[in-house]
Amino acid sequence: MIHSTGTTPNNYLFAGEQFDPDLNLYYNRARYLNVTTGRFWIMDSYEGNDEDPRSIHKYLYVDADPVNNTDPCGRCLPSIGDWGDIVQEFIFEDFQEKTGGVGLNVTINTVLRSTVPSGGLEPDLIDPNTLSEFGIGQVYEIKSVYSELQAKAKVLLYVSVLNFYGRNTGLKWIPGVTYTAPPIVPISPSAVAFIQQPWAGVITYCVVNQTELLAFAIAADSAALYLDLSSAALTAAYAY
Amino acid sequence: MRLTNRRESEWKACQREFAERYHRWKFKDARRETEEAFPFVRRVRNQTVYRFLEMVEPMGEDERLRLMTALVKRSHRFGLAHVAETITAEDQCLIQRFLEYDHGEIVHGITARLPIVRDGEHKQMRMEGDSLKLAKIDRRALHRAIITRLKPVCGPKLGDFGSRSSSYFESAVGLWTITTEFRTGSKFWHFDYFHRLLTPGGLTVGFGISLMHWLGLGGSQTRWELEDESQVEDAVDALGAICAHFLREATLFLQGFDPPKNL
Repeated sequence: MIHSTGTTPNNYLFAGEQFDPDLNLYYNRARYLNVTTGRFWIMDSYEGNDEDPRSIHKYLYVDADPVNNTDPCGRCLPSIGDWGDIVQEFIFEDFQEKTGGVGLNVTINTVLRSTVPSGGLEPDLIDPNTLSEFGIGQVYEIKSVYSELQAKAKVLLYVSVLNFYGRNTGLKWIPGVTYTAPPIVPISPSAVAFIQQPWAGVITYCVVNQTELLAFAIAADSAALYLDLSSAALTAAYAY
Repeated sequence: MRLTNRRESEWKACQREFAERYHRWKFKDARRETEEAFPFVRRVRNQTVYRFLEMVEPMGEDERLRLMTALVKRSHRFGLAHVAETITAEDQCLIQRFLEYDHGEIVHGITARLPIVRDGEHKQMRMEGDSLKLAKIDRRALHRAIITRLKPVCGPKLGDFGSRSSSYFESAVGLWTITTEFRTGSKFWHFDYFHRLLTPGGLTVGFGISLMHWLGLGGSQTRWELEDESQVEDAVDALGAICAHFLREATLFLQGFDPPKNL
């Protein structure tokens, strides 16, 4: 949202993030973002990927592509190498166990049992079972938070193709709504992915560094301890 | 053209009847698999299977049977509603144990599904650092080998859905058609398969039927991750044996149940 009407101030504007009018910056949980310059206020703690120079830049927002990408937590690592694949495979296994659906390398042609234009597309997750009593099939796309808009477009395309060419299959296809994804996907001892629950068929993930998370947890604990000690000291001082 | 109300209700009645029959058969087959020490499961090569076998190794047959019963119930909730069964507290406990075992170790307080490395037959190493490794296998040769193995079992009709890495066979069982669909083009595993049950008019009544699914171990696609070319022959043979088993059994559990001819 870039504009609002009425008298109630709305501080959630660009990419649905909270705007801090005092600082004239957006708060992305880990970092403040200056939309005028398109850069974060502090450096990104992610070291970057040597093969992708944009990921090494410490102040750039979402690979300098705010039209197609968002970074809701301010700490998301770009989806590089095999991380995306690991997240996809993990969610896929969970999805299969919960829904009996299929995916990852199953094409629309396979679902429809025919050969149609754009039928070579492969939705990440296909669930013809959960709502079959209501004559409804569901599709999902798993993407990094950097590519949420692309994922939305893909889901709409899948649904259009499935509904247009699959009119005699007895199912109406919709962007998935019923599947609940695991909230955290472990990627390696050094990284985990936080999963956003499906919304209109799109499941997004955000990869963060585990060591960094641990440091945050320790820092938060220390801060809480410091506050507790301070308040205890103050209470004791006043009581005395 | 959308389905008429009458066809739709006939189709749903078929789905319910199939779900019930399939569900009852799954318990029977899970018992057979358990009593024979998992002969088919052992021939599937993927991480879920390796973890499952490691988990059941120290168990007695009674405990294995209880676990399998719980797993079959878990993965067939649609069927459960039609046979008036529920997942008990004990089932839930066993399912939780399986999931925890399947999902693996604790790293930094978060459960991580790290690669399982075993000696001998089940040795498997996929993840190194942050990368996912899958052994290089000649996929075209693999695809051809699968066709050759499945033709006498699932044939005779062979087709594809516009892709060289995705093919299917069709077999007639009474008025039903059972497809055996397999893919060899995935970047996540080397090949996978599932069956589908179709009415004479081509409506899907059962979907995503495969070994891992009917035993409650995983999802609809049973998949193989191979270490090298030397495992291709055995894996393809295992696929043939599992498909032959299902088609034989399906002929029995579908007996006396035919779809309306016009459906």
